[in-house]
Amino acid sequence: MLFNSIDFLYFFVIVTIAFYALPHKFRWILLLFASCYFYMAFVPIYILILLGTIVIDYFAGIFIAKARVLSTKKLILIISIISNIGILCLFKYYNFFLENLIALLEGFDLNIEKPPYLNILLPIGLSFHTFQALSYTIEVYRGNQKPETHFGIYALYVLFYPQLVAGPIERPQNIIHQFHEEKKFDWINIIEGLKLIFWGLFKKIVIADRLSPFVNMVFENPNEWQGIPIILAIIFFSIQIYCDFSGYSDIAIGTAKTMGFDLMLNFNRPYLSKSLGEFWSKWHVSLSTWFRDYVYISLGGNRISRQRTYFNLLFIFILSGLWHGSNWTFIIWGIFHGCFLIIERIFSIEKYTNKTLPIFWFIYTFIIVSIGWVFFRAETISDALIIFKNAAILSKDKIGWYMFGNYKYELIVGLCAIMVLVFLEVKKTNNGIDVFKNLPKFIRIFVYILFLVLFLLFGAFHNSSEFIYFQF
Amino acid sequence: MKRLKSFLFLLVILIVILFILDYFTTKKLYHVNTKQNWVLNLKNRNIDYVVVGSSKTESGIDVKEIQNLTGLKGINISISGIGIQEQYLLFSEFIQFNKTKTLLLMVDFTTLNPNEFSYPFHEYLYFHRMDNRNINSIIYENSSTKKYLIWKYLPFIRYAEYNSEFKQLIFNKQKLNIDSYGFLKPTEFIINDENHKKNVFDAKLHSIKNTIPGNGKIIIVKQAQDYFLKILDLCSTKNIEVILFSPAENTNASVKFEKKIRPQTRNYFKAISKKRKILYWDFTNSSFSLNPTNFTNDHVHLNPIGVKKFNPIIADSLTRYYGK
Repeated sequence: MLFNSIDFLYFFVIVTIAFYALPHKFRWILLLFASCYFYMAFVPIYILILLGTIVIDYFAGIFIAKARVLSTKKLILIISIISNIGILCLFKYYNFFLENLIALLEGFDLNIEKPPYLNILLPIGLSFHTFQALSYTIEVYRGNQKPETHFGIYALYVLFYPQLVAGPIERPQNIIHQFHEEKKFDWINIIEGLKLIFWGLFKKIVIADRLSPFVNMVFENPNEWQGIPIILAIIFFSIQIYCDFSGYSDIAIGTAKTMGFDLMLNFNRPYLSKSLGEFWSKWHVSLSTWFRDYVYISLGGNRISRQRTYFNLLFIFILSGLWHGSNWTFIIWGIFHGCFLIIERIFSIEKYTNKTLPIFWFIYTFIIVSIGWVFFRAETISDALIIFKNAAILSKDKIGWYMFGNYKYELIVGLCAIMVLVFLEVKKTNNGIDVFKNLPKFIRIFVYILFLVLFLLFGAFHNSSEFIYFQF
Repeated sequence: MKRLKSFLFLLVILIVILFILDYFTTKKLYHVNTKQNWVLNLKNRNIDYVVVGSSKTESGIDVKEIQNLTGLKGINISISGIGIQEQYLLFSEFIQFNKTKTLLLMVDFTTLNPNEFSYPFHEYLYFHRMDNRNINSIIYENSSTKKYLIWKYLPFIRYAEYNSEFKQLIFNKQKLNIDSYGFLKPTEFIINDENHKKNVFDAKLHSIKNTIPGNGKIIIVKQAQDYFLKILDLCSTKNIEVILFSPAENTNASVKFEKKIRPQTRNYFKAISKKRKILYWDFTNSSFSLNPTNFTNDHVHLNPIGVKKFNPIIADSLTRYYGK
């Protein structure tokens, strides 16, 4: 069930009304049932995989807390990690690993009997809920979180439908206690939640989905394009992926908010960053902090030698690339970011960013990130290289409306919406709409209505696409 | 309470605006250039026959030419890419305001499985006519209830959902590319052109790969079959004679298809025609179809030369039929 579908509209309205209509003690049942239904709308059978890991991690949490010896705690934690990562590897990386192993062995003239490839769909959002489940057992192991004894509440922590398939990847300390608290009906939560949902839909439907046909046209046939169209497609993809994913996060946070739950902020105007380091503190925050808290710090963080820190940074970004997908393009994307972060650290970039105009550094960050996105978006590394090569072929006579194929209208709408987005982001609002909150009431209502009408007139509702991050 | 009031105030204003937008969009859409509108605006015609079908007949049956040959008056309300449900809609609306003696209904495997078309029912082209009970019920039957309820009861949302499509229609100043009889001239084709060969060749591939669904077994979608039978029933109640016909095709370009699906389709319609005591003209089996070199643009669509060759055959059949 997609957030941008009619089905979700009905689902959301029914679940939210039922949530407030039920007494507190039954709400977890409603939310758990609704979350299972939401997940089963994709591939029903995969709910069993989730239930399997939920059972393992639920008992792992309890046993870790009960164990008196550190080595026992560690052993249980390792079992939990292996079972979660094992499932992730089986579904997501088995074919990739096999493919590369065979290629490697063939490279050494070693011919082995090829084991069969797995011909199965990746369970939707597997990488997200695996990491969320892991953060629970790790936090219980570290003593930062009490084990959840209520099985239903623990299952809800993993399955909570607003953030089940594409995050934000929550920490148990932030969300589990909220399931125990009684949520009173509050108009502020409803309105704030709806504002966020609307803002997320605006980013997804009016910007991302308007830009995507042109971006797809260029990235799917990189050989057929040169110069400006390719450069535009790269820029548009940077905006598309931001609006797509942050739009999803806003809808998720807004949906939870309408029921009184506070999820963590996942995007904080990342393209207004003066360095790549700052960018990563604002982009997909729940994943970046996950790697920071559970991997980077475990490897020694910043307390070790400079060379070792650089190595750890690179390692984290390779892992991050691999988390996104089982393809070399993602690994190269991770290496690219890791290397640039190391360069920024070597040259202590913060020394310069505060001395010059911020806009210069915003552009710098946007260019670097956009170059990285080429690897992320391209089907293969050779496609990415073709894109770079063809982007450099600039010719005056090749500039014109024809470049946009049948998508002129989509791009004009998308560009206008981008201007609105930039204006609102610069104004430092998190749901976009709050920028108007100091205006007189009638003008504010007029602006809201204008926004809603423009949204209906220019959104790409029919043939709307899936969220990009669903594939992870 | 204050927030609730503001929220309700905003909602009311929004709904009023949406009603206004809905009203003007509905009005505008009655005048956009679509063949669907053209058909639904036809009134008080008294004709001998009406042709109903998809692209094969829209650009394959030149009614004016047939009139020159036979003196019979006709109209072609076929539209490219539409399934049997949309054909039913157009025909049932057409006969409410017009009179015809005969229905010439094109039949082929898509009649029974309209899902072979990429978009078999263009519901959005009828949104402005949802107050028409017949059209409304066909839209209801061909869409999910969830969507239908929103389209029907929330103002303007149905137009918003297809805003890109409506934008093209509303701002399109070009006239419809059909003659006053509903015939769409097929694209001119340079015979022996490489493209032609390629198209026919691709068509061959296409027919092998795509148009043999169900491992060569004909697929009958129940809802489609129901619409087909509803057309026959409607004609029966209105005393309109039905002639089922399968137009000429390039049978060389679809050898496997010919072997597998076509005989089953043919048998199905033969059985129906026998049961209902109606005529079935199968031109896919004619000598014309078996020697189609240079007559078609691809495996199913006649080119201008094909139309010129095929229409006298249709005219001859009609003359014999009316002289019965």
